[in-house]
Amino acid sequence: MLAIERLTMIYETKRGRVKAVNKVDLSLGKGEILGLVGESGCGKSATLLTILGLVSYPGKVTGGRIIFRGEDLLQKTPAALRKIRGKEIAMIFQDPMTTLNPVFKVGDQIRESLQIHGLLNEQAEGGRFKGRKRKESEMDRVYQLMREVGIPSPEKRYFEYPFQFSGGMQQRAIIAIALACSAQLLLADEPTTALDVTIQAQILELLAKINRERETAMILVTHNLAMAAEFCQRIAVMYAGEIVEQGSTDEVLEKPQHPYTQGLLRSIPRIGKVKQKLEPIPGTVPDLAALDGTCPFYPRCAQARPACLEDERSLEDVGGGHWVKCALYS
Amino acid sequence: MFPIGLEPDGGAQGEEVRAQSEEPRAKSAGQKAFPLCATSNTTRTKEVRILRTAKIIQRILATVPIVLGVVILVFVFMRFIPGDPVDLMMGQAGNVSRQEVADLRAQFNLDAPIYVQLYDYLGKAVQGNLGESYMEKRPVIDLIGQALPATLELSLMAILFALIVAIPIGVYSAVKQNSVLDRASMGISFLGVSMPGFWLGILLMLIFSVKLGIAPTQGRIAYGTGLVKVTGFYVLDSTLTGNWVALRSSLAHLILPAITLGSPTAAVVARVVRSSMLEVMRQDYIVLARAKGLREFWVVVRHGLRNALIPTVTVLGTEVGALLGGNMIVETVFGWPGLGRLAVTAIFNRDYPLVQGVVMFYALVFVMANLGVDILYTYLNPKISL
Ligand SMILES: Nc1ncnc2c1ncn2[C@@H]1O[C@H](COP(=O)(O)OP(=O)(O)OP(=O)(O)O)[C@@H](O)[C@H]1O
Ligand SMILES: [Mg+2]
Repeated sequence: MLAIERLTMIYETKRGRVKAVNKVDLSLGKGEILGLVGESGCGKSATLLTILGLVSYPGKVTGGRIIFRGEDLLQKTPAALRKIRGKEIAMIFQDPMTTLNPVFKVGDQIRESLQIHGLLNEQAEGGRFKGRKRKESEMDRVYQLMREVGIPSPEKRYFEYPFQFSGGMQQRAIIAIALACSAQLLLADEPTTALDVTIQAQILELLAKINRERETAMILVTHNLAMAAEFCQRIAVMYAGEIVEQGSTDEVLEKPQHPYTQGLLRSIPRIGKVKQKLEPIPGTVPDLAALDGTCPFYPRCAQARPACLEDERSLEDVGGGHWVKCALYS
Repeated sequence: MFPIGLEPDGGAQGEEVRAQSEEPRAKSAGQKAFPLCATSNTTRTKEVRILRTAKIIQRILATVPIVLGVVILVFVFMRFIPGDPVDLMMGQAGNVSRQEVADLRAQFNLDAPIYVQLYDYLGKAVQGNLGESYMEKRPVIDLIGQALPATLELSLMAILFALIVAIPIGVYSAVKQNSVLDRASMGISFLGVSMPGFWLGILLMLIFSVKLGIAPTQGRIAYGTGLVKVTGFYVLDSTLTGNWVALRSSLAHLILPAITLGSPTAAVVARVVRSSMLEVMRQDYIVLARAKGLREFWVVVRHGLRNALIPTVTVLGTEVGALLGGNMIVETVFGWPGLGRLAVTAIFNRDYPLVQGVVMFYALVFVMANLGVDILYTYLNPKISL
């Protein structure tokens, strides 16, 4: 359903060209949940924004393909892309507190999604915004969506502003916006990072329910491996703008192949191993503006070897749909 | 097994408890829930409206001490300026006897101690009697009644001009940051902020009146248009009475002073709109609006500008004061028969009652305009109520 090939996106900054997304390969089947994990600043959000075509100045896509249902999104006109955005691919954001527009009623913001894609009246509007007069039948659809994502008494809360919602409720409203046009692909950018632990679980449960009932495919961005383990069928590990390992959840977590994934797993506690020593990965994340084409993990890698300094690395299949980008396996 | 970082067994706590306790009610009410809630909703908005009206009335009452303070200050300060009205009149009249001077002072009640004068003045003012102009020998309230619509018409037109010019420029400059147009308009707006009002007025007059001859230089309307005065707002009156000749003439007279008066405001507003748009367009909700598939035009106008207007309105509030001050200069340059020109002549003539009356109305207009801005602000920003 979604296949990303060698996607590259850079930010042109004063410090240089920040390679936020570097030759990324990803694939996703219908109804599948893919976990995209990696440290802060490794380009997870950038990848999602690139898929939706929402990269704005100073970012620019310099190569690759994004094949969504057989068509390359990078070749589409802005108007054609707009018809896909929100309708077929929807996005959920990291910080619900800043994602809803503070000056509009929450219900109207959900309703706007329906309206943009012409789901309120017969003819499609193609991204035009028409009037604010609310019809009862239109509001019923919004109430229904709000109920579906677990916002209580939608008849009342339709008319409230985002600041009157708690963080969890705001995230539910954002999910309602994403659900409005029954998108088949949901890009969830750390949907629970900004929330309390208990609310996190509820939001995850809601996403799981949506995946079950609507067969919505999802890319779940997180830096929480446990959450990815719980929730995703497959996991892709990202480091410094590159996908370094990709495979089924069990494979990646039980038999990590890339030294970075191994280090990542050693640096967090695991159930079962009682007296386990936690080992942080030595060194720091490289500056994305100063990459030279060699393995970005090389300076921190315990298994580094001369072959790591070769320019071209590709994802190699190590068996069973488990892919690794590392000189150890090529 | 797998690493732990989060244990998703926190279960029904906090928010979910609320959610669950509220949900059954809505569900059991089923389809009927909607009409029930709809009525409670309208009563709620009615309550909000009553509350809002009460608060507006409260705010209006709170302006009374401000206006009173301004009037007292002006009353006292005017009498500190050397030379009182009688001196000025006598200077013009030539040789007059001491007795005549004393009589005149007594007639104007200028021989009494200042607090007695103030007490008398306020006592009459409360009853709506602002006294009689020394020079014009007409009730002050009549003179103000004639001048106020002229000033309001000019000021409103100036604000309208400022907004119509400045908002699109500010938005465009922000969206196309660092483009040629952005740099050019910000440069011009810098000039607009720093250029003295009379200088721009004279410049415009030179170009459009003297060189091109397409706009008159003085007054509000040409002679002989046969305008019937209804409200005192000439543009409105001529439209109401269908007098298109008068409408054309009054608009032609209005345009240059309105541009002169509105330009500094336009410059300020353009800069504020630009900087707040730059800020707003970086926000997450803009990305969400785009992710919804909304056209960029509507993303900018509906989601962007709507938020950027909040700081803009705040600045507009402070601009009202500048605009009223600018009135005095612009009205004098363009011979516009408004409050500003009335105030200037009254001050030169030491026409105490007229100065006091005009200043009182200046204060009133200022306070009301700021109240209007505050009300507008609450409509724009749902987090703030009066
Ligand atoms: N507008 C921008 N201009 C320049 N560089 C940017 C811009 N936005 C992001 N970057 C850089 O791109 C890189 C990837 O950022 P991204 O937001 O995708 O990280 P992330 O993996 O989502 O991190 P986090 O977990 O903190 O959300 C970072 O190094 C960041 O500094
Ligand atoms: Mg991110």
